[in-house]
Amino acid sequence: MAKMRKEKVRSKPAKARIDPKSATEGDAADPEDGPAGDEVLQEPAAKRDFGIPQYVNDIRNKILRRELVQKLKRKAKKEKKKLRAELAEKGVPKQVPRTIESTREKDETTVETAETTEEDLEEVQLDLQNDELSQYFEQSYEPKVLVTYADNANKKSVSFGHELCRIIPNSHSFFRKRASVKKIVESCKKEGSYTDIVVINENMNKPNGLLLIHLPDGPTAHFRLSNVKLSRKMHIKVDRREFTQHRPEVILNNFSTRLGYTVSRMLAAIFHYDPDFKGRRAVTFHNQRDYIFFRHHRYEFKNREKVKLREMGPRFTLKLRSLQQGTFDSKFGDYEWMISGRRHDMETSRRRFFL
Amino acid sequence: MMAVSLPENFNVFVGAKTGILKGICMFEGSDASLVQNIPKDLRTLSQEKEITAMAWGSEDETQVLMGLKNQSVQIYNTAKGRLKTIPAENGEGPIVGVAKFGEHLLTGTACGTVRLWDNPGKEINTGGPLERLRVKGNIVATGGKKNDLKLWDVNSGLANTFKAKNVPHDWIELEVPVWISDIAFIPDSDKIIVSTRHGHVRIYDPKAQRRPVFNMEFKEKALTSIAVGPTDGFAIVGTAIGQVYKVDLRQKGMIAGHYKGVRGSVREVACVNNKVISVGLDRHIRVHDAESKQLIKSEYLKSKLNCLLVKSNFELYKKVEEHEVVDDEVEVKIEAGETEMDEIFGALESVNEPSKKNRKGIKIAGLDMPPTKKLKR
Repeated sequence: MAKMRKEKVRSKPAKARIDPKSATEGDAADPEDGPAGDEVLQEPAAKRDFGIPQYVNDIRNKILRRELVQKLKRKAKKEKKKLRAELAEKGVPKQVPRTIESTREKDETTVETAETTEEDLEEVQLDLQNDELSQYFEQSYEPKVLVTYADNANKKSVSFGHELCRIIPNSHSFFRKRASVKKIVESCKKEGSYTDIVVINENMNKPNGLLLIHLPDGPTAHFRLSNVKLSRKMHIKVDRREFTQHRPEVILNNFSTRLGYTVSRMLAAIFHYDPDFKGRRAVTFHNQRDYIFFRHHRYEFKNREKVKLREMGPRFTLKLRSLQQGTFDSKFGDYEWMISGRRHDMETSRRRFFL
Repeated sequence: MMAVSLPENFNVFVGAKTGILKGICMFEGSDASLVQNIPKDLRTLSQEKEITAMAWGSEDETQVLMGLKNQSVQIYNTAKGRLKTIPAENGEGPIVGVAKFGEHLLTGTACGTVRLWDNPGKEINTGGPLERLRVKGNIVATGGKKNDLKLWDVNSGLANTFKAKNVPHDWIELEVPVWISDIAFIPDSDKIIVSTRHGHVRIYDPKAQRRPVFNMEFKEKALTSIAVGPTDGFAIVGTAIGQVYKVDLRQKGMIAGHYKGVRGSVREVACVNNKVISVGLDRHIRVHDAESKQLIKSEYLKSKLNCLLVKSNFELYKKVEEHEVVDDEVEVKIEAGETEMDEIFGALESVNEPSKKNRKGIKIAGLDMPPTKKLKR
C-alpha cells in the first residue's frame, strides 16, 4: 500500500513539506533539493503523528510560520538566481514576459514603427509643423494658463486647482462665477495673453473631469480625471519650500499613435518650453493602456548611474474622452476622436489602445 | 507597366488639411490601396494652402479643381499630371466651393461672396457667411450659417432663381436656426437635398414651394455632409462626431442604417455604385458596402482630410498578379563593319523604353491597355 502511494502521480505541485532537519539547519541544506527537502518525514496516511507539522500551514504559531515561509522564499529566490546565471552562461536567451502591452494590437496610425518609410514620416512631420500647437514648439510665445473650476467648486477641486497652479509656471486660477466655457474662451482671446485654459469639473464632491483648451483655435481635449491625490495628503515629508519657482522638465512617455502625439503635444504646451535644469524638477505624463499618469518629482543624481527621486505634488490619472478640433463647442464642433458613448464599438479587444 | 501610377487610373481624389492632394487606386480584398501624393515636394506646402473645396473641372472627370484657404484655385490635369495654381482673391476667408464653366472659374468664399471669373467678372453677395457651394449644370447652390439655401443661374449672370424660406416656428414659437453644412442634387429631378449642423435633412423643390418639401431632424447630431443614397429615396449623411447614417427619405423620414467604424468628424461622404466612401478628421478614408453596411476598406492617410472626389465609375480594381521584371542581360556583339560608337549605342536602352531594372510590376486587370483607348470595365 505504501509503495503504491509513493508512485502516485501528482498533478499539483507538492506542498511545501517540512523537513525538520533542514528547517533548523537553515542554509546548510543541500540546494539541489526542492524547498524544504522533498524527503517526507512520515507517510501521509499511515501512522501520522499530528504533533509533528508536515506542511508549513500546520505550524499554528503565526510568527514561526511566517519566519519559515520567508526563509523558504529566500532559498527559492537564491536558487532561481543561480539557475538564471547558469542559463545565461550557456547562452540560452532570456524569456520575455507576455503582457498586454507586449501583445498590443498594432495600430496603423503609430507614427514610428519599423515599417514607416521616410516619405510617411515626412508627411506626418508636415502635419505636425502645420498644426495648432506648432507655434509652441517654435518657441514663439510663452504659455500662460488659466485654471478654473466648476461653479461653486468644492474644497478638493479648489485645492487641486491651486496645486496645478503651483506646478504649471505662469498660471493663474480663477473662480467660475457662472461663466460659460464659450464666454471664458472669448474673453481670454480678447484679453490676448492667455494661451491655454484648464477647467476642472467635479462630481460627487470630487474633481472628475479636466477640459484642456488651447487658444486661439487650438484643439479641446476632454479628460476623465481620477485618483487625484493632493500633496498634503500624500504622507510624504516634503518641505513646502521644495516647491520652487523653477520651471519643470516635462517627460512624455509612451505616446506612440498619431492621436497620442496630438494629446502629448497639448499637454506639453502648458509648460514653458525652456525648463530650469537647475531646479531639478520633473513632471511626467506616462501613458499606459490609454491612461495618462501624472507624477511630479525632484531628482538628484548621486553618481552617474544612480538617481534619487523624491515625489512631490499631486498625483492624478487622466483618460482621454474626446478630442475636438477648434475651441470648446460640444454641439456643433468637429471632433477628431470621441469615445464617450461609443465604448462598445471602439473597445473591441483587450489589447487595443488608442494613444 | 507604368499604367499603375498614371493619374488617370486613380478613382478617388482626396484633399488634405496640409494641402496635399492624394490620388488613390483602391483594390479589392485586403490589398493595400495605392496612394500617391500629388505635390511631390512637401516642403512647398503650408497651412495657408489647405484644400477647402474640391470639384470636377470637366464632364469627363479628367480635371480636378481645388479651392485653397489662401484664396487660390489649383487645377490638376489627370491626363498630363500637371498642377496649376491660379490666384482668385475675393472677399475674406477660405474658398468654400469651386466650379468651372467652359473656360471660366467660379469661386465662393466663406464671407459670402461668389465670383464668376469671366471677362468683366461678376460678383454677388449671398447675404451671409457661406459653408458650401455646389454646382449642377448651370445652377449654383449656396448655403451657410444663418444663410439659407439660394440658387443662382450662371447663364443669366448669377441671377438669384430661388431663395428658400425657413420652416415655421417650433412649438414654443421660436425661430428654427439654420446652418447649412452640405448640399446635394438629386439626379433626374430639380430637387435639392440639404443637411444642417442643427441636425436637419431637408429636400427643396424650387418648382413647388419655397419651404422645404421634406424636413427631418436628427436630435443632438451636427450633420456635416450629405450624399444622395444608393437608391431613390435614400441619402447618406455624416455627423461631426464620426457617424455615417443611411437615411430613408420617404414619409416622415428615419435612419435606415449606420456605417460603423468612423472615428472622427466626417468631412465628406460620397455614394457611388453601391459603395459609401467617407473621409474625415480621423485621417482615414473608409469604404462601406451600401447594402450590407460592412466596412470593405479602411486606409490611413496621415493628414486630416477635408475633401473627397470620386469618379462616377468608381469600382474596386482587381489586382491580377505581381511579377518581377528583371533586367535582361544586354549582349554586345561586335560585328564586322560596325564602329565602336555603334556598338556602344546599340548596347544602351532606348529613351522611350521605361527602365525595367528589377522592379516589381503590378498588373491591374483592365489597365494594361494603352491610355488612349477606352478602358473596359
